[in-house]
Amino acid sequence: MKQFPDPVDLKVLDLLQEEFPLIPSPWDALGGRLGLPGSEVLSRVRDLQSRGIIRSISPILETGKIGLRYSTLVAMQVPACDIPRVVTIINEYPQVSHNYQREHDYNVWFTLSTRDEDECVRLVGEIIAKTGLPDEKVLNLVTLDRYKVDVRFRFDGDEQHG
Amino acid sequence: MDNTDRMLLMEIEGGIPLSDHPYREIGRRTGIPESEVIRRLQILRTQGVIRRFRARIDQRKAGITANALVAWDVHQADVSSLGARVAEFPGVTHCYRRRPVPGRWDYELYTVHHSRRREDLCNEVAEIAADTGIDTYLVLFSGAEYKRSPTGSLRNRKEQE
Repeated sequence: MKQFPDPVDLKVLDLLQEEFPLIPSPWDALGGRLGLPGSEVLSRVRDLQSRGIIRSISPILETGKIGLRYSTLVAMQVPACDIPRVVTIINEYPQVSHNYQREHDYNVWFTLSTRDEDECVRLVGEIIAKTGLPDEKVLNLVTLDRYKVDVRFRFDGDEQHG
Repeated sequence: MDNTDRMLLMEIEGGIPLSDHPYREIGRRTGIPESEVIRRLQILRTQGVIRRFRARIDQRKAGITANALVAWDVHQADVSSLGARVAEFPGVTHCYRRRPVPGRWDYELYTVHHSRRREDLCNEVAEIAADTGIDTYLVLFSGAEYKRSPTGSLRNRKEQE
């Protein structure tokens, strides 16, 4: 059995984090850049996806252009034993995209995107009310400016790997 | 963006099919010819509705297990110029300015970092601190991931409407 992910997989992962080709045979085009047949690129991608390393190959939409112009990051101090209940409440909202436990007194952090401020205030208020947490256990950190969003992980040439 | 575009984006926002000709397959599912699928997606990309089109990676499964949000207290300095400067560091994947909560939480600038080792991440953050002179900051390592989905989901918006 081959080592997984092998050095070629790492090159595939790097390349797939650039723009995916919008042409009839994208795998061949990617293969051309890697010196591999398109069929091999595809089979490696399938393998990487089946192992959960690739979540999906999909377009990132510009939130402002699809009407989501207001967003916030909310932090909560939740007693450890109460986290499952609170997380269930938060995650039920489709406007919530990310939710993480973090190592701090404020231990639950989630992001929420809405059309406007009113909707944001209403939803955050609703979530806090449902959790039953007092306001002083919650931080509502409204987004004022975005300087960078470029989620990219470098894999090839990372000697620490493995 | 018209209804056909919207339908197309909803079809692929969860991921394109991993088939030999993914756009042909999307065309089959939506009843749009392959060439039209490609043309529409190209236009959406040119218009900036599609900001990027790429693989979403589960970095933890790929061994990048040290992930942190860093909150910076910039003491009312020129936040936007500091933000632009901090964003330049290659290890920073997100950089935002957020409204602080006066008296309770003064951190106004936020960055996200990913690394294979906590030590490396902390070194990178210390380097930014030294370079910018922002000496008050908090490194918030992430533990459990409770939810992670694309931020601008049309399918989700549909549910809201």
